[in-house]
Amino acid sequence: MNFSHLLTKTLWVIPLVLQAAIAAVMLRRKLVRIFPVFFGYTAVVFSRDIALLLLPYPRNLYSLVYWCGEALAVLLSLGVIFETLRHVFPPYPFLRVLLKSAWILGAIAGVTALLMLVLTNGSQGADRVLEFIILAERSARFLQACLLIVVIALMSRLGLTWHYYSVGIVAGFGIYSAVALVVLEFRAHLHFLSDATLVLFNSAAYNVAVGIWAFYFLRSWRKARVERLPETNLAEWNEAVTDYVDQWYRR
Amino acid sequence: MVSTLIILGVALSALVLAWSLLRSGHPEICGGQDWEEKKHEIDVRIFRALLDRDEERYLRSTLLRNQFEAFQRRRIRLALRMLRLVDENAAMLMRLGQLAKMKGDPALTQKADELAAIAIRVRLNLLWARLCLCLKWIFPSWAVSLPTLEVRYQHLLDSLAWFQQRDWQT
Repeated sequence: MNFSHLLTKTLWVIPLVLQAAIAAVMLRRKLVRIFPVFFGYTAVVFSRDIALLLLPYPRNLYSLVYWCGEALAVLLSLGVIFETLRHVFPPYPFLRVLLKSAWILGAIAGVTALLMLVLTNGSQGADRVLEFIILAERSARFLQACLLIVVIALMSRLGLTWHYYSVGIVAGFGIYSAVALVVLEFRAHLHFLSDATLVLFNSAAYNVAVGIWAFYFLRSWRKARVERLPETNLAEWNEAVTDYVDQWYRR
Repeated sequence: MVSTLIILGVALSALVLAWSLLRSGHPEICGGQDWEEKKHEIDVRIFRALLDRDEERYLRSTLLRNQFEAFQRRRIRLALRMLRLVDENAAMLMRLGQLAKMKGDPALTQKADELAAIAIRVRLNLLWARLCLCLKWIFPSWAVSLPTLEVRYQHLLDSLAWFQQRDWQT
């Protein structure tokens, strides 16, 4: 067994163990009701990888399980972003405009991803089907990265970072989708990378993502309680800031 | 080539944002005591004075142009620093509100919701205020205002009323 093979196997097995632990913790802490799509994603990827460990390689069944599982995982990972958005955003009327903007940006990213898939001439390799699948995955990852940028920017800007699990989920997906996007671009469009390097980088990025999820889900968060809230002058500040912004408009 | 640049830009932005989210994700406030220790005492009257238009007009009329611009930039820098502290206060109060909600007391939960709502509103308004201040810092002598939609809408309503009145008279 050479080093590369050992590394690939290790990068495959570590997330399996961590994802089993994450799923168990989610069940025990009753987080499945709050994050059903993320739980579904974890369960699908875990089941697929266990099945792939047992199936003989390379066979048609192996490819079928891998690509069907991959397509389902990509769809679920897109669903996780919307789940986080719904879970994190407080239902204030003045935030509706922001949410609508997020939807519009998501739609623009979706159209761009579709155009990238249609317009890119990537079928230079021997296997045209594989080239198309990789380009399709690149488009999906592009959409995912764009949506994550919007969600993370809104979460950071509005200070919604107390939702520990949501922070872990989106940060993990953010890092994974960013690295996967770059790797897929170098492999599918620019043809700089070999398939083996693509697999290695993808696995490494996925390990980082699972590590982040494990950190956020397996750790027990200290729950300090507050008995009363302090008097603040935030309303006064809001008025002062709004007055200043209003000064810019001609009355 | 363009699509590659777009993809690399998107990937880099996602990476940087995800990293910054991880770094900022840890709670700064664990209770009322923490708030008392970490809150920034900032006077809203000073902020108002720094950005007062009459004051600005007075300075413009009494100082030389380059002196006025340098002085105005210093005032804007100070105002921006104050806004950063307000932003931090708002973030800490949101966290405090979230902790208060864990107690399960309905009255406290309602107060916490109100606090979170005003904190989010402040943080959103701070975005615009910062943008305006940055523009002002770049062009300190700029006295141009932006046309407001409300005024246009009022003009539209006035015109409609005028047409209706004319119609009724004829």
